[in-house]
Amino acid sequence: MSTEENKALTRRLFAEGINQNNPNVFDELIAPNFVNYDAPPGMQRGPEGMHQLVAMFRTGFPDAHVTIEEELADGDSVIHRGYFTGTHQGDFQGTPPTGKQIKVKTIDIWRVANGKAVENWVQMDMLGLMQQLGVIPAPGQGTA
Amino acid sequence: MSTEDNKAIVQRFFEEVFNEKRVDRADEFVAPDYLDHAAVPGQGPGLEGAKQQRWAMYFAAIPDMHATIDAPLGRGGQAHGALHRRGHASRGSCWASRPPGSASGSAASASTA
Repeated sequence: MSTEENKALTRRLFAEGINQNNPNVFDELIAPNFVNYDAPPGMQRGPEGMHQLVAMFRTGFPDAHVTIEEELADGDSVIHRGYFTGTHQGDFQGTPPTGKQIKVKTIDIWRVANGKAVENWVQMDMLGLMQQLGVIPAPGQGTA
Repeated sequence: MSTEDNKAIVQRFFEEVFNEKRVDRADEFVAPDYLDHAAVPGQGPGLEGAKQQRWAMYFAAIPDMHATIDAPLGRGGQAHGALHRRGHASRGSCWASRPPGSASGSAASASTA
């Protein structure tokens, strides 16, 4: 696999799996032993873990969308920097829908082997997300 | 600058500025007009803003803050690292203050050199 092939593979996970709401692509492109080191507790390994994670976000944000602003690849690794957008129309981690539109930054790192994603690290601005939903006060607002 | 040179700049930044808490050393690794895309509220522009608001706030709130780079990667004009930051919040104010305690989190950073 070339770095260009690895980039294309990981971009499909976002473009098809999230933006086009076609999670079948996870079964095609994620290895059975895949692990997301930053997944919430209880997520399984392999494609099933990604199905669980994306379903959790899609429940809260049915129009979930990821925009990639920068992409780097080196060896068997690919890194994306971008942002997640969505409208809070369903329950999200215990917070009932607020109707708010959110936009938060993300950085994710993938390792690819034998044509499938095998490892994933994700940092998403969850504090910013919860502040935008009003669950946590933003700096300078509310009392500590 | 080679990718290896760029990696070294970012790694030395974390080691000397973050881990050794030598904010003055940032001048060697960070351009004066450095653009912080994750600036905190109220942060002034450039290197001086980062020194005075961002890093000073971190170190005041979490004096033993420590960054460990797990997986550096370099390509083209950029260096990235997945890193873990660990420390104890003991005093000072870091946005919404929390009771003193131990904190550990993972972070990803992207830098252009």
